[in-house]
Amino acid sequence: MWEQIRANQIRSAFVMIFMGLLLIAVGFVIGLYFLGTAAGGIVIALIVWGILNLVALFQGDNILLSLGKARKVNKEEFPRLYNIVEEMTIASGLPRMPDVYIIDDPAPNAFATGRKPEKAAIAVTSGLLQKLNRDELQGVVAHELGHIKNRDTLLMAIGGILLGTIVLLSYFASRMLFFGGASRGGRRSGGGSGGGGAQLIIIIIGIVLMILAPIAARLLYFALSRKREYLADASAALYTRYPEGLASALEKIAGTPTQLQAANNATAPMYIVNPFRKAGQAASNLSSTHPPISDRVRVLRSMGGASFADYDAAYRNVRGSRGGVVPRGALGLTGDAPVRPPSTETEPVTQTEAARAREVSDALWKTNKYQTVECECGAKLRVPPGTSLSQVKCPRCGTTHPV
Amino acid sequence: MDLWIWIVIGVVVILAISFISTYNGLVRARNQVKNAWAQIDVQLKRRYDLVPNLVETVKGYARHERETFEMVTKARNLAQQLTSAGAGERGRVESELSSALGRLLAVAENYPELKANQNFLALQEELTSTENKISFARQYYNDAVLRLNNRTQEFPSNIVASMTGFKAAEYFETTLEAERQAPRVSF
Amino acid sequence: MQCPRCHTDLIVVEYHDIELDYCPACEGLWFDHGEMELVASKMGSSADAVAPQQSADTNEKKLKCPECHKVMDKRLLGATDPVVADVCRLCGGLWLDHGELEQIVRQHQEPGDSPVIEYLRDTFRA
Repeated sequence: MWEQIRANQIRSAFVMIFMGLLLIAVGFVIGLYFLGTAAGGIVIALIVWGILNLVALFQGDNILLSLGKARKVNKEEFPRLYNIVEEMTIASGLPRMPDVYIIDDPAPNAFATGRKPEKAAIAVTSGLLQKLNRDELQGVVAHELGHIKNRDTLLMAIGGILLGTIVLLSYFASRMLFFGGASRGGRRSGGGSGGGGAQLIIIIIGIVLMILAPIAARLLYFALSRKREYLADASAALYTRYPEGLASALEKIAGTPTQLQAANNATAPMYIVNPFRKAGQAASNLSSTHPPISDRVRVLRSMGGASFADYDAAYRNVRGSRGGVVPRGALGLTGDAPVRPPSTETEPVTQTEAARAREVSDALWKTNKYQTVECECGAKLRVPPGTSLSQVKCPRCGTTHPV
Repeated sequence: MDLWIWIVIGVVVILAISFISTYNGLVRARNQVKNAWAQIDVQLKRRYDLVPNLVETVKGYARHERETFEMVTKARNLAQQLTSAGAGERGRVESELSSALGRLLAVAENYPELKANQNFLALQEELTSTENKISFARQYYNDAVLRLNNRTQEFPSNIVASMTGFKAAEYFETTLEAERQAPRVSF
Repeated sequence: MQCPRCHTDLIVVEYHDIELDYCPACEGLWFDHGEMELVASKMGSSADAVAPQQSADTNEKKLKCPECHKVMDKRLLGATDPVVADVCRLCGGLWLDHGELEQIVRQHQEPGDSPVIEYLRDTFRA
């Protein structure tokens, strides 16, 4: 899939270059107003950008995972999830299986992280594991692996740092221009020849730029993010050969009102659905990191097959747009990809939502190193690790159990 | 006179570069096919290992299904003997094992106690996932074969391919292919 | 988590897919924020019968929240014969001592009165 990655990079490179130009423009204005030299301001902007890059580098790929209170899990603890990630690693042809993390949160969501496919990780919430059946979970995992395969995780990390630098610089610059800038400008005009009116206009232009730059950067970043979501959906359909799995998962996730506790604004683009969406919010506006779920579901459901070409056709059809979402170079990379039947026949019989909830909660307690005592009366007692208790009495039936 | 020498050198250099990059592209495509095939192999072996365990567990609850057990064991042993066969031949044998295992799981449906057994559930999850992995590995393999075969047939890479001895690879098909495909629905 | 009363490790008791923190020594019960509502919604009822009301004027010993380790408020809980429960202002958690749970449950003697009470009575023998 070399061509696919390359095509994505070219398209996204334009957005990146534009954001880079914005950063330079901000530096230019800062230099002009505060240092008297535009070049100095650009250097300062680049230094700030470099520092933020270093910070990100040192915090590494794990920043998202540590922010989200994620815990790494193995195959024994969550066999179904682990197997599905393995399956999708094979289907996507990733060189290495991503690490698997669990976030103990009832809101169903998932994200991928990692600058390189070799060092990638995927995290899902316990709520997701409870709500989704095998096909749906497979769709979500495939979507996240699509992000890794398409290098979105890297791209969004770089874009996020650029955005952060622009926001930071223009915030401070606009404050200073607004409160202290006029007097500075006045002093300079006193030394030179220009009239005060012209100076004022230049200051106003500066302030306007400082206000518009972060907004423009944010819109660019979000536009990038939205395109990437569609592309990851296309990848998920191709890997699973079952677009309905992801479509139905998205619907279930959208139908859950709970907001994810662990997310913040910086990490939002990484999730499969926007963790901040409000109940009933349908608008796909420019300031959204994700396309509206209803559109994504409609595109997935109107696919005639599971190939990139099928997704592209469905996208054009649903969105009524001439431009597709899959890079042209990637369209011919696979042959016909017929949709497979749902996997309910071979699905283990215990997979009702209540059974899954019990399974997930048992596994989570085990991951937290709690010891579980099952009493004959039907109650379960979970004893914390490192406790001084040597026995526990069941409050329901009074039986004493050794610990 | 000098100009002509430079033009000839330039053409030769361009030809050499495009030859090398085409060749490298072919090597890359062939390696993808090889890696994908290795992945199929890993998953098929995993399935051979799972079958005896599964049969033993089911036997404990469903003694009277001897025919099914024998069919599964026979299909497994046959498949294991043919591990060095070509993709086409292997695909046929493996799909027989798939359908035998499908029948075994269908039999298990009739025994509620078996379906509640933790060991059986874990094995069932493993088998389900291994079947999936086989089919995803096959999917990826066939896409890789398609890309390699396209390169060995399309102009101009077919010239480089025939000069350096690249051959089209064989698809991994299963006889179940037709049944597995859902009807294409158009909206 | 440790018991705010006697500092024993709390264990988690799960029954009918509802998990509550319970002190095996003094038999007190901890409800995380929203857990009472969760019990109620699973039982198909409202949590009104066990919603804490106005603050209580009492000399009872102040307890520290097992979650946030800050001193908790004393609030009245129950209709006819209210008990003094400990409620955390920060996390919204609720602590009931063993006797307190019994006292609330006793006010709802009629079976089917409140499914939440039924559940607590059955699970914690109060």
